[in-house]
Amino acid sequence: MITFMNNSDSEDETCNERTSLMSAESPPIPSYQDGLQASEAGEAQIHRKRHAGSSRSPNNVADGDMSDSGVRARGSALENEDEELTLKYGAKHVIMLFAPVTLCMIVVVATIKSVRFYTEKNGQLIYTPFSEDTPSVGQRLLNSVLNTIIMISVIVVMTVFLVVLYKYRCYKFIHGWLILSSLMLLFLFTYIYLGEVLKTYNVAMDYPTVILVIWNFGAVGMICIHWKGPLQLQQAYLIMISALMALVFIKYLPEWSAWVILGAISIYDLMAVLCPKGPLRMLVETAQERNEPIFPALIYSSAMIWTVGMAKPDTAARGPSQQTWDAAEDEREKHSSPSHSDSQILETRSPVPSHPITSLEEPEEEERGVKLGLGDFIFYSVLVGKAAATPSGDWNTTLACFVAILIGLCLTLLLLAVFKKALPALPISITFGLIFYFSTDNLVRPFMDTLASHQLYI
Amino acid sequence: MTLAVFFGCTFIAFGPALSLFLFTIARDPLRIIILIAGAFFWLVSLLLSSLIWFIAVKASDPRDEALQRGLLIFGVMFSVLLQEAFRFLYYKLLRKAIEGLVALSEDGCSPISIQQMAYVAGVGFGLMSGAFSMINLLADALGPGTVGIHGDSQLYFLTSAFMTMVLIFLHTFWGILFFHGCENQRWWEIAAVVLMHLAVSGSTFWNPLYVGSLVPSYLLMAVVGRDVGRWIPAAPVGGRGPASLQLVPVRPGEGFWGLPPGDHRPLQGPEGDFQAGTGPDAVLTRWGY
Repeated sequence: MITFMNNSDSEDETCNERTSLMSAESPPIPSYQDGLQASEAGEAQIHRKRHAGSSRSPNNVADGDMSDSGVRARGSALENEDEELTLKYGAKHVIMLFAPVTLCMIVVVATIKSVRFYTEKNGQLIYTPFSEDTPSVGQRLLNSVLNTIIMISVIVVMTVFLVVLYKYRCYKFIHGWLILSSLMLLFLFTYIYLGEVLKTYNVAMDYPTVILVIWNFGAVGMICIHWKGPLQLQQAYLIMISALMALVFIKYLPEWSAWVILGAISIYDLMAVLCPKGPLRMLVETAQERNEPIFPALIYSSAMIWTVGMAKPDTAARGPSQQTWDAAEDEREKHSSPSHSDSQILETRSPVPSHPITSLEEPEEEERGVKLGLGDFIFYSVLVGKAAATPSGDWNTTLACFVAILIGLCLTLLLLAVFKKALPALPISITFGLIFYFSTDNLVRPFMDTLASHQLYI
Repeated sequence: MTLAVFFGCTFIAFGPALSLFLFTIARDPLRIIILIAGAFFWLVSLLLSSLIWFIAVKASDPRDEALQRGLLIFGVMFSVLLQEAFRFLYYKLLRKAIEGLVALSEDGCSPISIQQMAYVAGVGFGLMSGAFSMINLLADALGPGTVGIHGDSQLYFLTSAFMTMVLIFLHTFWGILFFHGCENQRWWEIAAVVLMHLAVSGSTFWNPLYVGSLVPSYLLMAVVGRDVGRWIPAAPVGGRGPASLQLVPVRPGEGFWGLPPGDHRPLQGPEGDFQAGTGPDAVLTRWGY
């Protein structure tokens, strides 16, 4: 399938670049840090967020920190408060990630269950050349392992290539690559998806309408993702492109290869983010050294600014408008050229806290969002989608994998709150997901079917 | 079949649980996490019990009907016991979590009490149990077919939906009762929960003689629900003071539950006894100890 090579090319590496979860929730000022573990990381990330740049380190997830000036004003006395606030709001962050992950999975499962196209086998990607149509089990297993090795090697090569590009500051190349891949996703894949959905429901649509719809969808998507746009719209587009990418994987990866690849990629993610010489870790560290933000366009951001002041009833009203405004600011910053000076950035940043709030002088607390790489969305959805695509049509398996992934995400975020540094988001969730998929499909399904046939309840 | 049956059965089975979720759990992120973790614990218990049943079935003769039936009964009973064991484990985990939350909070009070956790854990268990029982049926109900064409009961979907609903409620009540028993070292309450669960599951062996399974289950739910409400000392729906049963309207701006989300600590009056908050949360905070 030569046509998919190009986008899979970039998508694969972008997908796998984006698979880690990071948070920087400690206060930013190094001089006030007394042994807080990731304080430097926290500060560096805050600096990174503030500085513009289209640097490409998409797999790391930084906490969305907002205004720095307000934060600087607080000082060390608020350190511990900060930590408590972080953990107190930890549950809210978890839900802020549960919702989009759930939404992405729902889209993928709904599509898999209704549109036949994504469960039909029509060839394979060029990265998985070995076919699984072999008579013996051993041969099939061998082929799937070989496919996995090839796929993971491609991903490693792409990642290393990316790190090299980033180290030598080829930002334009990276930026162009990303724009090309999101163009492919937003236009080509959406067109195919729309076509298949219309075919499934036997709805006729003429070409001018299709062109209008796809053009609008794609153009607004490009603007929202790569430039400025309302935060919720950007989030919606990121969810949609993750779902589309997951559907492509579900369609074109052969059965056993998909499962082995899921397992292998979570191991790779673990090593790439945590090992000292791992490419993703080097990417993060390079970005930190340069005080540049990790590339934002391919990371799902749940960041919100909340200014919690004395006038509490206003918070709710202020929040959303603040959020939208700040997202625009954020986006503009991120995509301005790296030549902007710090002072200019500070200027852009400082009006943020005082913006639509009335002139109340109360100290502002910011709730920092959590970010999750799109690769994580994609692989979670691949797992749940594959569970939904099982020939037995069992919904219990899908539900079990869904709960397993959410619990894995919850545990990962808990570890994030404890360790306060870049963490891979795939291993725990995918491990739980795989365990629950295989055990539910093979053990629970016969049990529940037998119970249902006798109408017994446990 | 098709949409009417699908929507009807879905709302019968999950309507009350969905309302409980929307009105009491959805607003507080911590409760949602506890709910999903509860669902996870139920799932793990199901997994282990299916494993045991599967091994037993594979090790036995598949043609022996009586043996298979016996193994099924054994599987059901074992699963019930394992579910209750996991409820206990979940209680232990939540107790540790409360200690952690207390340590992290500013005023030494956990943002959520063990009673609220008990309720949410019960709903989590119930929802997962109901979902696993009902979802495949609902998916089949969406398609064409005739219920009971081979001589089975024609009320299959309907009775399954009602049974699921009663089980969700029962799990909620059992959760509250179980945690209450664990908190206060009242082992007879725990034993009562286990026995009730065994009884309800056992009564489903009467199916398709639905009068033998549905009716007792509903009666049991009514009894347990009333007792769970009664044993909580004088829990007013609204109003202040230790034992008042006045109903006062929820203060405007406080929402359905009276208290803003996250602020569900039991309120302590100056005399040291507990005052009740407003709203149904009062039921859960006003336990008198």
